[in-house]
Amino acid sequence: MCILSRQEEALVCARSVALRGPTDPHLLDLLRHTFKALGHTATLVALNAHAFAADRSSVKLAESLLNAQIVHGAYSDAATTAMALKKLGLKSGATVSTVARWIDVATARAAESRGLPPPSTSATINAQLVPRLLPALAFDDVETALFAANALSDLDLHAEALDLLARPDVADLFKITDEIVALQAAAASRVGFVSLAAGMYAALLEDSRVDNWVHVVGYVEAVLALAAAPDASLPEASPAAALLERYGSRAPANLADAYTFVAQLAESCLAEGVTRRNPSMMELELLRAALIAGRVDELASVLDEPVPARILVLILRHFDAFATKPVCLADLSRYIGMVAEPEAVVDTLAASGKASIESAAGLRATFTLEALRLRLGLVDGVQRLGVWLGHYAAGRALPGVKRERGERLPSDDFLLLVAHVLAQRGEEHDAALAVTVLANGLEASPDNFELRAQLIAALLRAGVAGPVFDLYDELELKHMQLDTLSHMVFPAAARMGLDEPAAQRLFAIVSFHKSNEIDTPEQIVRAFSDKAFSRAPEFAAFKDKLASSHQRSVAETELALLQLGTALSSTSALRDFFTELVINTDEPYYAGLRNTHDMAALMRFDCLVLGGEPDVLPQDAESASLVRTSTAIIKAQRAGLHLLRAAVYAFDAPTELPGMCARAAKAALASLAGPSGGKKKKGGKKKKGGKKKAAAPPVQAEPALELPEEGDAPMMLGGAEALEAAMAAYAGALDVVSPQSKADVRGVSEILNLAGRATLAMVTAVRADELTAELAGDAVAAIDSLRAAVAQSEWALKLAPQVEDSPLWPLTAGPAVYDFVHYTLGVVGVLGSLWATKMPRKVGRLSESAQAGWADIKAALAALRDDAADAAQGVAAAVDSVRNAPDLTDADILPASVRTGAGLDSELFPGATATALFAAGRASFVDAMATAVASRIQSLAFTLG
Amino acid sequence: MTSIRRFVADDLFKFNNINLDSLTENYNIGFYFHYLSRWPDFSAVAEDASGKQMGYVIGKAEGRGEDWHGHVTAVTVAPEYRRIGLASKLMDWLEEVSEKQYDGYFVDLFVRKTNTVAIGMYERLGYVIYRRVLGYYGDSEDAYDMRKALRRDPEKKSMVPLDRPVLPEECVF
Repeated sequence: MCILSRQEEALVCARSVALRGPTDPHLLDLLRHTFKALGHTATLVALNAHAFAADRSSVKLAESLLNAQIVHGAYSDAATTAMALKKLGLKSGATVSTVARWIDVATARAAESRGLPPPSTSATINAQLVPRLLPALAFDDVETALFAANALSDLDLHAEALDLLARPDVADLFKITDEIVALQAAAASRVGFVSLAAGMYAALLEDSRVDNWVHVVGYVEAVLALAAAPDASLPEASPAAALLERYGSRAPANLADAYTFVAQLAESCLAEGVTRRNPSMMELELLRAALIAGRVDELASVLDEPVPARILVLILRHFDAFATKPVCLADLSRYIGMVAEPEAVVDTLAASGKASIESAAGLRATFTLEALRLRLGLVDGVQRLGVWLGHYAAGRALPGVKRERGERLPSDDFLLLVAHVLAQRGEEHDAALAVTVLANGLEASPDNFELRAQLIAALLRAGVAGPVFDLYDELELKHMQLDTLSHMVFPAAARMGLDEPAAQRLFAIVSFHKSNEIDTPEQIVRAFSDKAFSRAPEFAAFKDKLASSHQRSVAETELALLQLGTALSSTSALRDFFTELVINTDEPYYAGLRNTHDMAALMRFDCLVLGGEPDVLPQDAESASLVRTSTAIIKAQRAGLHLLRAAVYAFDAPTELPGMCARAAKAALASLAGPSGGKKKKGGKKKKGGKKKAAAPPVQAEPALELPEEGDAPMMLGGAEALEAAMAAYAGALDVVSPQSKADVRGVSEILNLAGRATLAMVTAVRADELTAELAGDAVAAIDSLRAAVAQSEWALKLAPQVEDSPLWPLTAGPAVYDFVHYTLGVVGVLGSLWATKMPRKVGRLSESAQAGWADIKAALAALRDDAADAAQGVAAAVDSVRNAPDLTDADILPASVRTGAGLDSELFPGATATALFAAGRASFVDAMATAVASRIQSLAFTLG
Repeated sequence: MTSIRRFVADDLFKFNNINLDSLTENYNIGFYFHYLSRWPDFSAVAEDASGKQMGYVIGKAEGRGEDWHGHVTAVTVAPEYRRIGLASKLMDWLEEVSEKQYDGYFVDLFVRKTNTVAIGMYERLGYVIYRRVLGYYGDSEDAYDMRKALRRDPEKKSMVPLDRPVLPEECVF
């Protein structure tokens, strides 16, 4: 019997129709929708290509084909279609074909930069072709000219890009002079015409009164380069030569001249009453760059005082003008490290009289000083908690402080600083302390999203799940935020027992990503239609980045695990779960997951960590490691799901593996393979039953499977071969994953991995035409591995006594207990699928030598069953102890000594807040946990018969 | 340290220190891409020296004849970058694009009638309340349509207030 899900059924029907080359528009629309929704992009392209070939005069069909090609990642083909589309519907002539050629170039380059195979040799061809076409080309709008300049830069043809931008007919298209001059200056800088760049940036700064910081940076970089290396020669015949004639005289002769220019310009701006920050900071920026380059000596002739003294003067000037603005901290953090005695500088700033706690403005200045002291290591943050809370309280008590809608209180930042320090220290009571102050702060300042986000983080650190989802919902995350901000709660909150609330929110994230896959390509096509050519590759890159989001993979995997837990109530539910589980057979995005977490809104003060670089957000430093470790775990988790699914189908097929099973196994293998993949062994025969020593790294462990991509017919794989190969790949992946992040992998993923491996080993043994002792041995070894992993996972229960003395015991133990429940899921899945088969029938056909192996399997299964039952009882006991624990009191949460030490002895911070939150969280957590565990124990009992 | 540059698609990945603000609407991807595609030079981001976004403005050009104008769809600034004149700077930028690139007669915007802080700021920037739009917002709150004449309208005819409120459908250009 070949089991087909509804999805498979639809696919088989749709494909059989598509192969006939339909041209009816309604039918085409229906098929497009079907293949798009199912993610079968190759068929989608073929369908649309056939339709367009039948009517090459149709703009609509060309657009559909272009859309499909972009969805499929066939960028080179997309460029050809784009060219056809433009000829059909937009414009005609040399400009069109050349621009289309550049589209080809840019999209090809974009594909290469994402590690996709080069679509054609067009980039090389165009690198030679485009410069020859350039002089004869006419442009009639800014977007086309910009796109052309960008495409030239993509080809590393920077001189040609500069020439294009310098052409009078192109420059005249830009009605805003600053915009074209800035583009020309940037291009000149890239070519190495640094004196031209310096002159142009000088003009931009002077004419706009330093209105744009990027011009400051461009000027500083150009003047440093000017003195460091000779200027590249500028061909007289080039359009850029005219620019040099116009702007060259404004370039400084050396660094000292540049400093004089900057200092005088800043002074004149300040004298004119320009109140923006750029002029105030410009001189500091040049000094900073000179210091980093080790070239301050070159400034001696134009400075009346030593550089450190001048820096102090400039910092004081800036503080005097902007101390009462929230941004002052970020400004000074960039430069404060340049001074030799920062403590003296901060004392000098403090003596300026700007700081006080008697006004909102004074409080902001006070905050800037306190945060600077923390950044410079001049104070111990923990020792300052009481002071900061006092400042916060003073801010709330200020007369006349009115909070407009959407605004925050002037002293809120002190609470965020407190939360930051507590999160850094991470001692037992710190999460409760943070919850107390943040919850009270949020009550008075409900529109402060930073307080809300930090409260969510503190609650998760404390192991309190209940209020987290409410707070998360209050942030009203939508659309892109579901990807970039849901890391605040997932995966952590998905493992805290509140399965249904977690699943609802995870589903929203997964749905958002599906929408992106379907909708964004249409926006790319529209960019072509709107003649916004520079936006088309930009949107394409955006789509790919979002599609390979790390958070997307987290959400999909966590949702599948939660649904698996629900499905364990019966074997039929389990089968249904695997039948409905959407598995993209390609899953290409797992090959290169990207961290799309937006940390800017949540970690404003992490730059204050001593030694931290103020301009570098934490995500930059942690991104690589996060993605590497987490990707390995996610891959393993998903592979476990795929393999369990394969096992279920394998058992349902009496004589052969259906196509679904094969594809599921292939998906598992694909998800484990690295981006470069492994070499495929075409048609190779593997020795049946041989020991599969794991190969490492996993990219080399891709199995020798040659499976049709989307075939309809059940595939005769020689099931044992396929599944053995899957095992080998699995083992290879584990070898790589485990040492990398043992602590994490020992969680859900390890059990699922081993469960899948053991299942496959047993499937192999049972389905083999002749069960050999070696095969049986493989199966037993796999089961032993699983048992060992289950035994190791008892750490979750062993954790309990260690924290039992803590008043927060039920809360800190909660996530660990929940993880343990997840551990058992894999065990239950294996046993459920095994028990669902008619294994004894097979046993009767085993050879005598295999009988011994089968006896071993049965013994191992019996032991495994005992372990699983023990585990379930342990979990139940743990949950009971949580349920029956006495009610928490204020003293349990925050003992008097802790409150006093932290400066929380104020009626603003009642301990009852934390207690109430914790109690509410605990109650919902315990209820959710009890329900989940009861369900799983019931299913365990069911499957064990 | 403020740089102004064009709004690009990747900005959607890192603008939440602005968009989490309770008064800032977070739209779907199609909305932003429609603006970037249809009016590619009409939206800008302000960013600081580290590349962190400080605020942004999204706008478009619309209307016919003497109604041809720039429209401010959204202008917003992250809380930590307020009180330094950034919204004013972003508005200046949009007005310049409306005037020089699109040759519009005026710039207009809609603001909640109760948002007195924003109304005050726009008035300081030279905008006047041109008309009241009844039930403009989803929660039925009225909007003020505020306008500022550009150089192409030297007599500032576009700013002469209407003497009666209008319905939202009357504001379609």
